[in-house]
Amino acid sequence: MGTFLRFFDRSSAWLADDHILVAKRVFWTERYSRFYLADIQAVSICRTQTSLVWSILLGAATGLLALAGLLRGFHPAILVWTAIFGVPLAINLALGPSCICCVYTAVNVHRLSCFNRLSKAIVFLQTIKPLIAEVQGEVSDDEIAEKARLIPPLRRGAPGAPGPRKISHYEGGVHTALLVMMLLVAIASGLQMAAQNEFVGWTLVLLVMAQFGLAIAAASRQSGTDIPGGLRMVVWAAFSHSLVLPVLFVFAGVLSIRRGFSDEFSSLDLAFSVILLLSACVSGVLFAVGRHLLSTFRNDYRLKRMAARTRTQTQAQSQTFGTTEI
Amino acid sequence: MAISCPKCSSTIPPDRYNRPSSACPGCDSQLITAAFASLISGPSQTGSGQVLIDEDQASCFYHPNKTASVPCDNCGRFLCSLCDVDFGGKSICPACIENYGDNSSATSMDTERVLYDKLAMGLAIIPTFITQIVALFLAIKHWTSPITIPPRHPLRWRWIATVLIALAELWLLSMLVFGDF
Repeated sequence: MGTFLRFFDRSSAWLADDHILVAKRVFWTERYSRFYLADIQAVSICRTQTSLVWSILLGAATGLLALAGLLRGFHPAILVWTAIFGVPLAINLALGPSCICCVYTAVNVHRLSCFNRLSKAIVFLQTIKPLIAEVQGEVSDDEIAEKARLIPPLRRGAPGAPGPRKISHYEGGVHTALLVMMLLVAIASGLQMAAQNEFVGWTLVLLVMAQFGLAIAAASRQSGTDIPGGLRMVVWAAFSHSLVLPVLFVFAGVLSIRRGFSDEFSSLDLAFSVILLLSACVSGVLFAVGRHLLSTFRNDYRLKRMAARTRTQTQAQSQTFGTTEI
Repeated sequence: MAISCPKCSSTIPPDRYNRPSSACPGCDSQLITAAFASLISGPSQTGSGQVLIDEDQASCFYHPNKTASVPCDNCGRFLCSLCDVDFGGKSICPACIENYGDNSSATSMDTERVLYDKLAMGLAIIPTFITQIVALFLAIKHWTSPITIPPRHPLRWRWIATVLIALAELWLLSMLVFGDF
């Protein structure tokens, strides 16, 4: 039904008459798990950003190498390296979005790592749904939803089942600092592009390093909090930007040095200017999007608290005074 | 058991079950949750065994004070409804299930297997005398050992390839070490 291959392990799922066999192979040992169709209570598929992250990383590397090829000509070494990053990128894009697929029974939750792509997982679900209905019997969705409400929620530490994670509120202090830093990086990139000044250049380097550190701090701080998904993506985009920017500069510089700096000075200037312009645009856009998301998040939270406070006061008043019939 | 999000482990509200697409309340990820009848039906009720009334009646092998209802399809012992385990359509006693793990032909109970053919093939590729000899030893010892449970081509091509590669490498290494014969 599905296969997942990594460097040294391989996971596959097979459909038997009355059960699903999941075989996980590590080196030369194979472990088997059987899920009988009569015991499967639910299957869930959750979309993840893993394939997107890989696409961004591989795409950035491929784009970088393609840019080098365009500037310097497609040397065989550049072609080979472009293929090394480009082929996995093409495969990743062809396979589609990534996901996590889990099977739930009465006693455990098992992740099916062989169905790590949304298209495969949906085909798997569509295949086993009628088989499970044949074994367990047809029940309407409304009846399942109604009776499932009586099932108690998961308690933390329950054996064989993941407990719910506590979500705490976070106002976004580190995120504010990160957004300010991104604005400064955007301004510094624009100034450096215009002025080509050494002092501005070194300031830009320090600001990018500070942005990198703040992005890591924000990513770790936002874990387990109610920060919205869009703002989390902005943090990761800022992290990637502060990582890719120095690499781009080094790459452009190395390419120029190999060809002779004095001969290629004008094209080096052009390459640096393009990189700075891109950096300024990316930082500016991230700052604008991040600021909008953060202010929306804070306003929504403030409104919810006000509504909750008003509700509490109204309940307290009605309990104190009671209801009187006129 | 309540269904939780695979990503953030938040409990998924039942009104989001069996919908084409929904969002997790915890991490806002796109989610498809399919719930089935066994989620709400609860565990199947097994009988606790009928108490033996008449001394002439057959009793369970493991519970002498309970009436036997079925014989074990594997060993033939009489079993009460408590000891009767439905295993792939057969009635099996707990002792036979426990012993199944030692029986190499009972593939339906295997939870782990060593794939000797892959191990031998990996060893055969590494070019040292010792690994080739170990690979040949494994091929001879485990030629008929059960391989992977998922269906495979009946021809044990891995063993054949292992033997050929091991012999070829032994010959090449001998040529290198001892020169032309």
